[in-house]
Amino acid sequence: MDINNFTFEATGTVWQIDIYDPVSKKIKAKISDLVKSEADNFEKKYSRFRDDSWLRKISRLRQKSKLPKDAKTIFDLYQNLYKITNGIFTPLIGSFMEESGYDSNYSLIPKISLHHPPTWKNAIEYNYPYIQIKQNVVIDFGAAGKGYLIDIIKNLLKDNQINSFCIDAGGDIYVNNHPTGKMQIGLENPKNLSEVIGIIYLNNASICASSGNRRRWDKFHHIINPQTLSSPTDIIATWTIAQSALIADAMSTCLFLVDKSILQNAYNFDYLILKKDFSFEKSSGFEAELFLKN
Amino acid sequence: MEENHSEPESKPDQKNSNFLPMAVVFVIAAIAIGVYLSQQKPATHTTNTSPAIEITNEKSSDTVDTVVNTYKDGDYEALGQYTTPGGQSEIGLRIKLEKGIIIDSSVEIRANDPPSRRFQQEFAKNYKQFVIGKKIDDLNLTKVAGSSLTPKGFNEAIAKIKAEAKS
Repeated sequence: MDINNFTFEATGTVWQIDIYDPVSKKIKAKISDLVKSEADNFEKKYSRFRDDSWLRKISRLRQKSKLPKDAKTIFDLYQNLYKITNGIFTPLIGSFMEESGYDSNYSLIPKISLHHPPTWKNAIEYNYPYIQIKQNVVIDFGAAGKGYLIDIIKNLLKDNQINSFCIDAGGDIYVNNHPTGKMQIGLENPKNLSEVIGIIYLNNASICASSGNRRRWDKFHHIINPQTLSSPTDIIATWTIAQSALIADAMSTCLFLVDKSILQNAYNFDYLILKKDFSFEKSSGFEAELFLKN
Repeated sequence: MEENHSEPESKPDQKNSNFLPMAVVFVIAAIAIGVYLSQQKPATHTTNTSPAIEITNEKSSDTVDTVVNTYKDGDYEALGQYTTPGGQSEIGLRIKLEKGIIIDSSVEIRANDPPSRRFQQEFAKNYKQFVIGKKIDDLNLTKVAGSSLTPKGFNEAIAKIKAEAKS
């Protein structure tokens, strides 16, 4: 079986799209251009690492602005998760991330004084199709933005008659109509990246992972609790499976921050949580062959 | 699997090799000593004001499963001896092999003095990450779900800070 694939960089990682349908070179080139331009547009809108992004502009302007067409899905999700987690999952963590050193220059040195992020109510007036940012804040969609872009690219591929494909955004994956029926995917050992701790079989769904192992600086990793201003250490990695990569991506971060039952009451997803002593918890629907024993 | 505090059972399936347990115990003992030493560190580190930077090694050194590819399936057990500031100490290890890969293991705490017991308990809680897991290359996996590849800028910044912290 020939696999057509192409790669590009976006959302701070390397993306690979594999197309299993037989497609001509011309079609592949067209798809590749469409996908790359979609990814670029996404970053122009939502990246906190780009000073010229729409999201940074509206934070500077602090005026009522019209939201981009695709903003509703992600703002609704962040608003609802803010509510059900009592503000522990918040896009306003962006301000703290910059203070703590995870800024667009990667200074990685925390400022002397660190502040709790403001509340949603004090900072954001969200009323689709309008939004107004009321203080000098940094909105960060890092916990689910990549998943959302996976969903957007998935729809773009389908709209262009591509039906059998895999999107791999640096370890967050969506697979559609895999030719073997189910795709075999390893679960990376966060303590030894040349190893896996298990294997799952996936089709027409997304698996996303979060772990504190790669983006570390000072005493932080990329998931920070806004109430304690610290990064969780009892969980070392999470994997989540959902129909939507947006949901899977958001849940993989949320599991570090709040109890799983809060999330399971609100969203359909399966999970595997790996703790620092290598014991684990998983939902019954997380069908994996695990090399771990509790 | 729980760590095992009881006396070892009679050796159930000790196949035709003594080398394997010795090799594994050597690695385990090295880790145990590493755990021991890392436990000692904080007390002597209080004057260090440089930022604590931790970075994960992309290709950390091979764990034991590359050593054991030629061994038969079954259960193996062995004792490891090492010297501590408090004298000789001993730790027990049992592993289960399948197709040359360690699929389960347990540690038996055998130290008598309280500090060594404490370190062995700490070790028993944390050693599994080094011995359980399978090589991606051996499994022929083309996709792995895990944390994103770190952006280049982040890694460069970490390297810079580490260099500054040393100078």
